[in-house]
Amino acid sequence: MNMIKCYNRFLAKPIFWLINIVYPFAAIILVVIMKEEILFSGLPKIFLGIMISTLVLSAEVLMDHWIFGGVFRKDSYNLELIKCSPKGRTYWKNILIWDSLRRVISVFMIGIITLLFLYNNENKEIAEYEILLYFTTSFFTFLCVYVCRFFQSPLANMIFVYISLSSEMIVVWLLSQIQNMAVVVSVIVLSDLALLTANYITGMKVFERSYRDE
Amino acid sequence: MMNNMENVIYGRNIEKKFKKFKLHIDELKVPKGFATALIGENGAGKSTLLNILTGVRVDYKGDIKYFDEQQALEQEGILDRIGYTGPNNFFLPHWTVSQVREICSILFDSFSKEKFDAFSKRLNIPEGSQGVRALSDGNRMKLTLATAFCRETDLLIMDEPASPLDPLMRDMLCQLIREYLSEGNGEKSVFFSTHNISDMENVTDYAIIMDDGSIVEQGFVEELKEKYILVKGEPEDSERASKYLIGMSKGKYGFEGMCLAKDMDKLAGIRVSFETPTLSQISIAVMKQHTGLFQG
Repeated sequence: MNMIKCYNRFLAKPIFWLINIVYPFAAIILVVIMKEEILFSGLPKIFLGIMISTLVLSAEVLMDHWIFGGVFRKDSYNLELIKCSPKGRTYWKNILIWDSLRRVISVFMIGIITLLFLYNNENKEIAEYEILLYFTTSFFTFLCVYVCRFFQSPLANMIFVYISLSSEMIVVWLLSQIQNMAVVVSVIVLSDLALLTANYITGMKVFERSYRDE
Repeated sequence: MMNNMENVIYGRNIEKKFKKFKLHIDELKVPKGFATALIGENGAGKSTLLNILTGVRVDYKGDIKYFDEQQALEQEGILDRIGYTGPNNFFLPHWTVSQVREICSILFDSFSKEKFDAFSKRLNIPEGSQGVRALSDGNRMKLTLATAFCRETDLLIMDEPASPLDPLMRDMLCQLIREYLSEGNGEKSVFFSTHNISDMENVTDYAIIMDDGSIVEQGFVEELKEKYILVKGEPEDSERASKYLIGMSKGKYGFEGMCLAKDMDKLAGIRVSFETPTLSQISIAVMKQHTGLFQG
């Protein structure tokens, strides 16, 4: 079963266009606008990084709500249509895996493009701060998506986005005090991987649990 | 008829325990080539049984074989031959109708998009961009039915398909079931649970009545109609007749109840009239007898 085909058919058409075309292009256009200083010219560059982080985190959580909508809740759905298919298990597995991969690709691609565009010839200190900010954003995005899958209400999701963004700023400041950037980034990347794995395992567990009274 | 029939589903010692409920079926036989109705009060275990039979629930004990008692559900290709429709939790609520169509085309090899479109038109299902969440219960059930009927299957298992449908659509459902069975030339079977016995009676060949997790009565409808007789009489004779009747109801102008045909002669000397009962009347009487409710 083709993983990407499974995932794309799992998405409603507008969501498919939004995720694959509108969102990445909007992010890149925003970066270009910033680079050319068409807008926000008076702001220090660090704020532009924060804006991109905010966009990525909010957009990923919102899109996840449209795709999965609190699917980890115990009293959520039984996914009976998928379960009564002989391919159901593989299908669900493919969706969860490709969703994680897509998220990694989209979050990191936008991050890399942002860094390349905005901080090519900037001083090292700001660039490092931005890298730290971006990796921390990836961690809080994956964490927030994981938590939000336990809640169906968009309001709850938005509250978690707000909490995540606030926490992220504090964590970035704390991490910036550590001298060894390579270690910090490695730890964040490992945490990202752990979160994505947890997301996949929980998704499969929810699916398996729905076959039983657990 | 019973002894010679082939079974599309044959189960033995099926057991499933919940906190205060226990499903226990010593022997389950669903005849091949017929429409079988599963009847019972709320909480009798109908949905649990159907979930077990379709693999939606796997935490049970017992042995179930499909298609001439040869194959287990886990064997390759068996689930492909079974179509299932459930009342709740069938789709993610934010899916759209066209998404359901696309997802089904991946999930089931024999799913035909053309057939689905034809069924959608026939059942008057709202068009593709409509979200499942926004559909009425009836339209959601119609969508569920379309996903099952447009596949090439040999057995359809449907949990309460008639409940959310309007009378016109219930009639259409009966028509669809008849067409499905006649297409199969005795090879296709339908097993559905229902509370709308009267509406579904004209399409029901075989009935299984459940109470409190067990099968309390089963048989071909015509056989059940020979086994039970509907008895009606005057109020003053109700006391004498009540000893022989099950599911008796009394009113100001008379009483009625179900009597086993073999016990008919015991009513000799009591002024009563006899009628052939409907499946609905038989089911209600049997359920009343076993639940112990509405006595007297």
